[in-house]
Amino acid sequence: MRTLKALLPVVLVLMVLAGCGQATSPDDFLDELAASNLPPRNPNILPEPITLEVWLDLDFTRDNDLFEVVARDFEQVYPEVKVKIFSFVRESIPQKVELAVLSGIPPDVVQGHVYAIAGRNLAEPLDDQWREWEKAAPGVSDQFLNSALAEVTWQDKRYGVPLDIYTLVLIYNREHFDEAHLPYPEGDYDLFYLRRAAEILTEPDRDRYGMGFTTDPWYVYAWVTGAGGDVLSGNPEQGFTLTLNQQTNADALRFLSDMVEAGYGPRPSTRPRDYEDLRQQFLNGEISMYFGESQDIHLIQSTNPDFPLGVAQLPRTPARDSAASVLGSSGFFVPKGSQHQAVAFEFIKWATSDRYAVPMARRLGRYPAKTWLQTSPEFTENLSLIPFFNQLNAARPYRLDLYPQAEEAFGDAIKAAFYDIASPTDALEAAQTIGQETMQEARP
Amino acid sequence: MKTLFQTIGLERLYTGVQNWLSELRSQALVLTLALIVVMTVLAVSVVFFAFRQVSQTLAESRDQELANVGAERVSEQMESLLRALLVLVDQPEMQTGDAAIQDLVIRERGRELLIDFTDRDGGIIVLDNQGTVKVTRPFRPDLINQDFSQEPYFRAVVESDSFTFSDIITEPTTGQNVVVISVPIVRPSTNEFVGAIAVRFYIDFQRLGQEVQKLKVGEQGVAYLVDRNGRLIYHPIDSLIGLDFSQREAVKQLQAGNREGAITSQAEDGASIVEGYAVVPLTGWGLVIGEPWSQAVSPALTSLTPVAIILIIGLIVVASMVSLGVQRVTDPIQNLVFQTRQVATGDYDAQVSLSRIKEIKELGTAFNEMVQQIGKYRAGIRQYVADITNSQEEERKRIARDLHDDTVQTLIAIGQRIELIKGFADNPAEVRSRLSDLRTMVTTAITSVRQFSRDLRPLTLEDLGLAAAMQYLVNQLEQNDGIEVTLEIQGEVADIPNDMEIAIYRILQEALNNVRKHAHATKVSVLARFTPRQIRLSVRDNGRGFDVPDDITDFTSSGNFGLMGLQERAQLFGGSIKIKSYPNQGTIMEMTIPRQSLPPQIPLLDTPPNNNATEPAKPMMIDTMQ
Repeated sequence: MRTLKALLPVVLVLMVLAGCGQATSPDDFLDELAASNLPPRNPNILPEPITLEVWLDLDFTRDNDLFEVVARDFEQVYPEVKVKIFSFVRESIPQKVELAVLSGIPPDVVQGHVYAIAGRNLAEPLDDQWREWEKAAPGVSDQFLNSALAEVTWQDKRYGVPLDIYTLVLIYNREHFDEAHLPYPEGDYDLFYLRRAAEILTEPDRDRYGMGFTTDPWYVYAWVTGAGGDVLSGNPEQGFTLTLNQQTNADALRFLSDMVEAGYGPRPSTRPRDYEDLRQQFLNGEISMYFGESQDIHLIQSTNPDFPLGVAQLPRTPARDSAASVLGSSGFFVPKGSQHQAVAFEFIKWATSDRYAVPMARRLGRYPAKTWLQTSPEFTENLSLIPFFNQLNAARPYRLDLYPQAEEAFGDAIKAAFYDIASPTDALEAAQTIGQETMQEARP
Repeated sequence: MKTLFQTIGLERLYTGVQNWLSELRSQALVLTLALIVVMTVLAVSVVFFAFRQVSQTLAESRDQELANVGAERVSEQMESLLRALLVLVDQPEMQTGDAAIQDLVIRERGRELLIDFTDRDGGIIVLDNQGTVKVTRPFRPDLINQDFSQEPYFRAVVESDSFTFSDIITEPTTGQNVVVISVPIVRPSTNEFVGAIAVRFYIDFQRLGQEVQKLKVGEQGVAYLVDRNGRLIYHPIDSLIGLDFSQREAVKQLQAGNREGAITSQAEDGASIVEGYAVVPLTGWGLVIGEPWSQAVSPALTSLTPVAIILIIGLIVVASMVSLGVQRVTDPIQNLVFQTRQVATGDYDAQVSLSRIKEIKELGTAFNEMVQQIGKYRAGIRQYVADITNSQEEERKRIARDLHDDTVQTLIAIGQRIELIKGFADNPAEVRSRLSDLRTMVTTAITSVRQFSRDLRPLTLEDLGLAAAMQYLVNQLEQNDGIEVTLEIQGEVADIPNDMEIAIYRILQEALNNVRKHAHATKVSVLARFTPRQIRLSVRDNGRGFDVPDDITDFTSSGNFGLMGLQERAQLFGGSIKIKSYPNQGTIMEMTIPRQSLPPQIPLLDTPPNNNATEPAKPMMIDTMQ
């Protein structure tokens, strides 16, 4: 007993030392994910040591570690797999993938607009993997929005799994409308109302413009479709035809450039991603309205909860059949020639699972391409998101990114029109010429 | 200290600590630990200092190497850009000066150059020989026809006729900060300067930083790129990009012309940082790899952690071993204390178990022997007292018998004679004769009483003094027993207290009695030395001698209390008795008594130990001549 007493300090100190080794550092995401356990290991995945190279859109990884958590979770269940994540600017990813595929060193998983990638023959078809998935989880396809599934499908083959879906909505400052005694742009309003509203809301003395503009082709496409135009016709099976030089498109572009010429909106900077300027101009009170992404609703509400934010669907098309908009969706695909397709698809399943989709919606304002999105009270009770949900049904998919050089030519035409370097008609005609030349070289 | 503890209400703690510290084990533990801790701290300090120096050198070397590697990478990246630009300017179409053709060439052959100009970039511009922007890719209509002739990168290519990497400049149209790589377009056939092609990077453009970003310098380390003026072209913290870092020590080194190196300096917040730096070849920019000193040494410190843990565990093990070791010492001592207290309460059966430590074992053995001796002594004393009591009773009976048989009878006879004399009142002669008889009888009675008196007290001592009394005893032995006895007295026999004189007298008397009864000696010599400090008495005979026991009290078991009595008397005066004897070689009894009477060597055993004794009791000495 005496010996034990003498050794008691040793035991105590060893216990203290042992206790020092235990440290906890709870992760924010893990708090949210704690409710659900990690998915089980897929027995079809062979335990081979590999490094999975994953390329992600920088917008999804900047200032948050959601996908790092996905990677670490995945590594926990598949300890033989090391997941390395690289992030790139969204617009640069297709060309980087093309270079990587051509170089024979493609990454294993890439996030992007799968439809355009598949159309350019840069992705592996994943029908077999989808079939296996359906077998293991019957009805899994039904969990995704049809419009999002269409964005990963090329010529009836699925080349990826949808991650998120987005569209453009009209974002406006309610206070400005109130000051101008203007009714909010809700319900059955059209482009002409919008222009009139922009005119009224513009106050040069206060450095305030009624409308904000961008030269980004995807954004301008919403105006084009709103005016009843389109930039491409056809389908994958029969081929596509460039229709940049349609008169309706020129009218839509002229509509925009005239508004700038009239002083209802600031001339866009024309730099790449100049759409990012719009949200800041809006928050600064420099513009009263702009076409913004659904993510903007989240960003404005989370950073400026008291801002007099108004959200509406885009104006009716001239045919007044629906509120036109443009649909955007990103998904995961496996680049052509990737060597680890089974593990890559398993990772894709993980990354698109609800376990991570819910925090992605809550924290990033990136809304998962799942059917529950439009029925989940957590999101449907946010009234600002209702126009977004409604808009999803009418939004038209953007296909011009199948032909990057045609898209670039379209962008140049937009810029030229805004800066009055050429008339919209001439600018689009030039773009049509350039676009057609480049399209002949492209596969679709 | 105590007051301090009282003030804060921890007096009990103070007392507890004091009590704890007063224990041998605590003191041994504290002292050992203190020693080990001091030694460890010294050793660790020396190691740590050396380690720190090595770590600093290694960290600086590593950061310098990283800076070199990073600078090479950035240089290679810029070189590939430059090569692409040089390929473009070599195209004959580019040398035409036609903007539309130049735009087409860039779109078709410069696509890879443009791949990353998708995010807050600058892009490629072509200026004509007047410095006017003619081509932009990506298309920037806001820049078309802008006059950039005064931009430093245009002036540089005009003046040097070679490529140039600019420092950070503020773009006149947007007010944003850019760095520019510019290459002159020269028509080779005529050597005519057609214009310049320039790649403009916004300084927060990821491509400029992507190579720097890859340089992993730990959790808190940073790698940043500065232009020749010390302004940040790239920094992982976006908000810092464009700021002036020329006051940073590493940047100062670069600006001073040092192409590479490393330095440890203080950051603005006072923390030490290690920075490696290198000039980015081709560009003239500088790359700096910086990390907090704490991070630079953290891997080393982390590797030291197991050592520290082992040290701590070692310390604890040593402390425990010391504690156990001390416990092995203190436990027998505590047992000894307990058993001593048992002895003090009269338990003379108390025995301690013997430790395996030699010294402690000897102490225990001595204790056990001491207790046994005390037990024997106590038993002897009891027997002695009982025998003394019996002797006294016998003596009283003898005196009563002698008085009755002799003195009383004589007195009765005297009384009867006196009654008879009354009948001869008319016969004076008869009266006279009877009175004469009566006187004889009285004289006999007086002699008898005097004999009693002499037997009870040494009258010679009182009458003649110690020296004469000693001579009387010697003479009596010689006369009565025919033994040849010599007495030698040395020194001054004066000023000796009466009770001490009696003790010396009785000791000599007993010693001579022992000779007479047991020694069968023919010669006895007595030597008494009286010095100012002590009195020594030696009685030496040539008798048969005997085996002297270890303890004088052993005689009591055989009913011989003479020697015990001698010792008791000597000890009453702080003295001692030594007996040396050997069979057939006679016996020497030596008594020593200090002149100044001291307390007895062995106090009364029934009284508690006297902690205030001015002088420790002396041990009883018995030499055996073995």
